[in-house]
Amino acid sequence: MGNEFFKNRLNITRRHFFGKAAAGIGGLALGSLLIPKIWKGDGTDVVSSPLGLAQYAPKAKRIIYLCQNGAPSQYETFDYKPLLTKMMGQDLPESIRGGQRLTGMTASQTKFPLMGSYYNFRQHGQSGAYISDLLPNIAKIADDICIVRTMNTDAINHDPALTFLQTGAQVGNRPSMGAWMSYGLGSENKNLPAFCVLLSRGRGNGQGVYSKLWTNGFLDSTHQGVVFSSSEDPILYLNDAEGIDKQDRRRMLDHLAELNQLGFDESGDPEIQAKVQQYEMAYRMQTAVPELTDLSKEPDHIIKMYGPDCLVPGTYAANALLARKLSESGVRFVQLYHQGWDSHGNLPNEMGMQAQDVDRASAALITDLKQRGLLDETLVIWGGEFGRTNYCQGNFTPDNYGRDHHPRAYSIFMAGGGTKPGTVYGETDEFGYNVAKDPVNIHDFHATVLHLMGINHEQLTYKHLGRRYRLTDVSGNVIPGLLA
Amino acid sequence: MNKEQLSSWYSILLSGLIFLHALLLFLLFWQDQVNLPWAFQLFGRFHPLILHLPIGLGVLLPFVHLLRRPLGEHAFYLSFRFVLYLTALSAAITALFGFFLSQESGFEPELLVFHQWAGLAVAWMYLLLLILFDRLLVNPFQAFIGSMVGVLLLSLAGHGGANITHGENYLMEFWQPEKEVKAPTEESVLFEGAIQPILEKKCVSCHNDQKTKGQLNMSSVAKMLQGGKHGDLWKAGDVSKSLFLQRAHLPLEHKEHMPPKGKNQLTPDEILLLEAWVKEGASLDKKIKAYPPALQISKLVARLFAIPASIEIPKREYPFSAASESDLQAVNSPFCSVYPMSSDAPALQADFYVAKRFELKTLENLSKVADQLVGINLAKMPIKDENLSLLAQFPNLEKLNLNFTEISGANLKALMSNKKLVSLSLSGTKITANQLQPLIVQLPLLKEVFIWNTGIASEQIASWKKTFPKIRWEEGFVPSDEKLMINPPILVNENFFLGPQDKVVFKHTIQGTSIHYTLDKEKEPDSLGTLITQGPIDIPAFTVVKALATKPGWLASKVVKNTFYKYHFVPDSVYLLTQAEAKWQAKGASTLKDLIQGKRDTRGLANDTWIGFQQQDADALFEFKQAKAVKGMTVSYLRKQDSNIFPPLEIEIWVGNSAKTLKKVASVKPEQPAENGGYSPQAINIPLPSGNFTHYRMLAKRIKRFPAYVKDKANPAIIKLDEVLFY
Repeated sequence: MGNEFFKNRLNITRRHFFGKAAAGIGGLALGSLLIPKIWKGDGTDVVSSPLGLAQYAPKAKRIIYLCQNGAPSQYETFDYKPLLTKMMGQDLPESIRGGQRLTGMTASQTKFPLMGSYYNFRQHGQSGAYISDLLPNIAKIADDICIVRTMNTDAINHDPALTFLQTGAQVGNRPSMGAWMSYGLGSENKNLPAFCVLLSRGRGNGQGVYSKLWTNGFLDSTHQGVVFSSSEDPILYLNDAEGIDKQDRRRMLDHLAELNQLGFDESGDPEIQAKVQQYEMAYRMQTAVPELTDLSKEPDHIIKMYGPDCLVPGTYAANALLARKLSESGVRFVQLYHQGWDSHGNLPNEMGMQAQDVDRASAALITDLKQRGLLDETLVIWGGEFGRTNYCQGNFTPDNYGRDHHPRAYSIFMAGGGTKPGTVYGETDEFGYNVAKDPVNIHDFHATVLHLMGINHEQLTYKHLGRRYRLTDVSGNVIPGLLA
Repeated sequence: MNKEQLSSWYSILLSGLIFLHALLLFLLFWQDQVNLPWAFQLFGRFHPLILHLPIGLGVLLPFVHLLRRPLGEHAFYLSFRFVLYLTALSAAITALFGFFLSQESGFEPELLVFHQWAGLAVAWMYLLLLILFDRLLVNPFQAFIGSMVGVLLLSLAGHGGANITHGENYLMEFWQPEKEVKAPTEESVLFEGAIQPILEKKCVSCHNDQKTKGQLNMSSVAKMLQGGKHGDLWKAGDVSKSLFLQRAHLPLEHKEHMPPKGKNQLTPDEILLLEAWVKEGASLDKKIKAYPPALQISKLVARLFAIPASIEIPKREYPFSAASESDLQAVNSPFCSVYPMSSDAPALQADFYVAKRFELKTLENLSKVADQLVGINLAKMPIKDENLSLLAQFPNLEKLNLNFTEISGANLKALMSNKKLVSLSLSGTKITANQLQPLIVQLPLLKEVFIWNTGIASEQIASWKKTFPKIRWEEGFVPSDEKLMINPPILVNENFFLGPQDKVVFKHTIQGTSIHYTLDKEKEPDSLGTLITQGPIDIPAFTVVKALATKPGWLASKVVKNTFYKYHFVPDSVYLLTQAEAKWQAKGASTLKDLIQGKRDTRGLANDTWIGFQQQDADALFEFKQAKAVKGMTVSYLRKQDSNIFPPLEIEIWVGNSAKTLKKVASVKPEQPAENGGYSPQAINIPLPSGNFTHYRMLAKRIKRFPAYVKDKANPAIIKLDEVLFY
């Protein structure tokens, strides 16, 4: 073990040596003239100066990801398909399904009765985007958002799909989006973690979220997401214990750091230094956090915007408000998860309750950022890990139905941060089952998000187990149609 | 080894060589009939290895001449002959192995033919040189020339071989600039944008100006139209008579299949597109959008050219140079982050954090990077009017955020010198319209102003929108008249058994809300008739508390309902006078006074919060060491008709100062459920006549007759008790 750490350190210092020597040695000037990059390496496998900065002028500086965990149905939200209502109860043509694999929940079904939306659709804003009556407040900001109707993913079950969405791979060992941002762009506010995670749970059928979704993967553990508690005290044990003042705390941390340094000198385990940094972060958070999490001073009109739940800790609305405050204070990536969208049955009712939780607060967050002049530099993403089927799961009953998982096409929306406002991007076929035009797969989505943050997705890499990894792995194209 | 032995070895070698060459010739002429056993295929695979021998030896050969003088003629003769033999032998074996290898499929035939003949030429060349040299028919100089010719032939054969393995343009590829492929759009001509690029990728490498296989040249439109040996490439409108598509559809193994086996094949999508194009008349100038949508041409094109147009990354030039690393470090502090906007530009952004740690000198200090600062975020910092003058030192400032600072607006004119200001955020400040307008006039580049939550009237903003049409005025969220339902009060209590001092406490997270409650079973806590909490609620005994919240401008909340159990006294001991059912013993008699609320069974397993009686009535005696003035008792029991658990038929309370002198003082009959039902904890208050006693007996009798809906009437009804409380 110790030996491996030692080798790792040798490796790093050797690379640094070559990197630095290149600048100074004049005799190599001719060589570098001919091949300008020969001595530079590409600087991506060792933490060096290009990290911590956008590569080119970013449109977005921060991201708030409103992850609707469980997969909200596109047919009841953003993908208006009147044909499904017309053909209600008829079987989905085999030619449309085209051999799509099914989950274990509908695999035994012999019929796939098409199901139209329980909720009505209307066109909104100057863009004329179709948005269902389920989301009246989001509909009001139709001209501020960019709806993508052709998201598609590889996975058909929650865990792999969510892991894919968050980390770019279905297996759970890669760094999460937020960790990549923290690694690539660093922290804006040194007193707060660059990657924060807020959890809430709706009343619909829920699916779990696990810490692997906000993991640092193989990156340094300072990049992992910090989960806030859903209680009244979002960050526990932040106050000094009775009888301990700031100076005592400082002295304690300094001594602890010395002890840790001894440990590090012996084993060279980089995790020890990560730990020291985390202690220091917690120390700085003691000053920065209280003013952030204090919601008591929020004025009445803010409460009316986000809805009264926004002062009840642990609700989606409270998390949306906290997300705004964190983002405003320079947190690079705020990740929300709202559970409860997995409507396999009783969909109209469950989605109704879920929408009550998120509609007002999601729209409020975007409006709130906009009125503070922050929407231009903050990318807000709203959506789930996949979509739902256009046919009914289980027996066909027109008023109460469920939908199974569907990976081939689903809808999300983004706002701000250099996305094109008032846009509806991509088209699905009449059945809403397949992408008809302008597909956006998860890798493309990641590439586009990184581009908005001023990063070429092919260049933000980390060398691990002998190869360079990226968030987009080996694919992904920036989608120009989504950019303002 | 003497000379004779050596030369006999040479003659054996020579015979072997001639045998190899004969075999080679034979195989060459009867190529079509050759069927190689697998072992020979294995030899073939060794071709790439052993080919290095004739190359090395062949190159060595002319160098042997350097030894001619130092060694003398004879030794030179022997050395040259030795190396020559080895060269000729290895060349022949290499050629033979090469032949074996060539029998495997997948090689570009044209390259193969060249390499084969060049290789044979090498082998023959060395054989010839060897025979001539052996018979002394050439002088050393001629032998030198011969060995040089050998090197030349080796180079040719080697190059030919390398072309097969590495590709034809391997040597020179970095000299040729990569051709830019532009993704076609709806506006592009289909032929130019998509058809020609496909043909170029898949056909032109064999049908071009240099190489016109089948007398077909596809390097330009005009030449394509001339067709080849077998006629025209396509027939407009008729896919089946279009030669190039016919060839594409032949089986891969077919000799005439195009592109030939081993070459990059057309993909199904490409064939689909080519067919659609021919069917629609093989037009050379029709735009993609002009094709009928049903053909889905644009979809195919989009799929084929998935490489999106390269993303343009606009690079802004700034009229100043980057700040030094040391200056950058000097202005950074834990509460002020100053960082480059991106690594390719000198522009800096400064963000201030944590209001209570704000220091004016940090802002003053920014003068070190005054030229480079294009963005400053001072939101929520305690910035006062007079501090605004400090901002005049930043000539290139473009984006300024003063949201929720303490400025009154009186000194806004200080910003007039920030001529490059593009975006100004003043949300949440006390500025007025009259202060802002003169500043706006002075800022020619201003594009957006944020004045949400400032007190500037909507009418004023509307008029500005007309006067300054280039500026985006952000007014923000304007609350509508829509009344929202406020959320219900939040219960603070965590324990539902309330001791003598405990009270029911509600709170609300929104300030200015009133909480209304009622303890009356029959009433709803509407905002009119019921009590408003001014603080904690005291309850006398077991009670259901119903509460809601109201606030002017909001709709009243939903009602929250909570059940509380009150006790003033806890008995010192308790005894069971009858036997509890074995499987529902729980913690024995003390279950009745443990102040732990009954829980639902999980997975059918009985938990120890309920004590159950079935074969006997429930009878318990409670003892206090000192007599207590108990006003009443609460008995909490379970109702779960579907498991034959019913409320007691009757509960009797007996009191006294010893176990033997008990007197019945109360008797109640809990309400019996009229319908079947599941788990439902219940409780009943039993008031007692006044008096001080040490002993209290509770007797709960089972119901004697089941209601009609109970199916299994074989066993007696069950009583399950949670707690007996004394208030």
